[in-house]
Amino acid sequence: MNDRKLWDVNTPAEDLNNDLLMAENSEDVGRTKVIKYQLNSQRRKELCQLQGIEYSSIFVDIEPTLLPKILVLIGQRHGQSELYTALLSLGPELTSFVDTKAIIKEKISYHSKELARLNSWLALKELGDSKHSGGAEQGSGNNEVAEEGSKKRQRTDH
Amino acid sequence: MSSSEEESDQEVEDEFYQAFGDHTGISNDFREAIDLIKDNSNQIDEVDIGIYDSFPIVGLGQDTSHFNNLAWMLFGRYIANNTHLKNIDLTNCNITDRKITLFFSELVRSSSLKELILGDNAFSIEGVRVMVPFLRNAAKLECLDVGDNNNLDTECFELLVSTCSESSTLNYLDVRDCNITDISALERFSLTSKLTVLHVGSNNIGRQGFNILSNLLQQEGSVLKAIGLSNTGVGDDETEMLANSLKHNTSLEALYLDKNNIGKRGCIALLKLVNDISSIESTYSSNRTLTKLVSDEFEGRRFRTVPKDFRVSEQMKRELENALM
Repeated sequence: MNDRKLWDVNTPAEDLNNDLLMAENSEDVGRTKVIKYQLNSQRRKELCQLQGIEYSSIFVDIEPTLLPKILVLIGQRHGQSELYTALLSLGPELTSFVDTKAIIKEKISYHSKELARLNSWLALKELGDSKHSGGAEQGSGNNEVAEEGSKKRQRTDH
Repeated sequence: MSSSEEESDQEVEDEFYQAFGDHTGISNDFREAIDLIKDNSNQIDEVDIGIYDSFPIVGLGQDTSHFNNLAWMLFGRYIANNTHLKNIDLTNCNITDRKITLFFSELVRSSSLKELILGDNAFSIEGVRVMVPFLRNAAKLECLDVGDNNNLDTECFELLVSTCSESSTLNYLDVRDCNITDISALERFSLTSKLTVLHVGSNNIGRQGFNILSNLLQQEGSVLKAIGLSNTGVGDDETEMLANSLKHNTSLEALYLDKNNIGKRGCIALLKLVNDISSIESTYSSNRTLTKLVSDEFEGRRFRTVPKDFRVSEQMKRELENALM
């Protein structure tokens, strides 16, 4: 069984409501049966009862890295209610699947970089402000000249 | 045309008239059809007695009841000489050993036939023996149906199987309701490596018969796509046996199990075969080929796939039906 292909959310699953009729080859039939019967907790419960099998979680034997894809498939094929049921039973697995240390390290790294960026921005801003205030003094003298020139033109006009 | 050829033609026409003329009671339509077959017309490639509402399917059930010995012989000769005829259906024509002997004495030279249906007639081992030379010679024959012949028996079946095993083209054999009690010939002559369809329904093949079929279905070379086991006394034990043998079979699409005695245990075995819910791997690798457990039977607008007479809950039937599709 090719797990990657089986759980590939980009491979269009056959129309489950059309009862496997759309499945084009043998592998599709197998995949459709898994999605239709194993990923639907209600149907699986009923079938377990009919076949005299004890109902238990299907997620135990699944590689944790595939869980997100499986959840996507459950949501896509069986709706929010089934997704919610799956999430309930998958909560601990999903949490344990998260590498907290790596995430904290990543966050620290991110925030360190952000801090450095902000510091450098602040430094540049302060530098810019000081330059700006010097330039502003020079600018007021020019205004006076301009005003003077204006007056001169006024005089000429009269 | 020389005078001898003219005489010969006249003889042929005289024979035709004697066998199929107005006085015989054979209908005009059927007489015309036989005439076309005699003249090797390409307008007819199928002779079907009993169904008469569309051309080129020709012949009325009562027409062959008017056949005298000469008619049966000539009918065989005309068909043998015709190079266009592919299918002949002589179901329920009251063909006795005498008639079939006359018919096959001429039909033996036929080389175009692909399908020969002789169901529901009255011939016995003698009739099967005269069929043998034809079967050996029929280079294109794909389908042989001798079902519903109450005068046949296991000996006839063995003779048919041994002869058909020599054929390189035959893939369909219908021997339902022929008083067969032993099908071990299938194993002895390796016929299931050639047959795609085998109907042995309404025969009392016994537990040994189901054992043989189970073994054959597990063989790698089996090409069987359909097995008819209706009304053969299949119970839960036999169903479990057959279901186990189909776990790794990738050729069988239909296993007709209607009119048997199948209850919950057998039904669960079939359900597990096509959808084992015990694990993802089991569901994925469940049998993907088997899709029908009943021969074409309409319910509403669609074909049924599970027999009505399974003694299980409607939910079980529904789940089995869903998984088969």
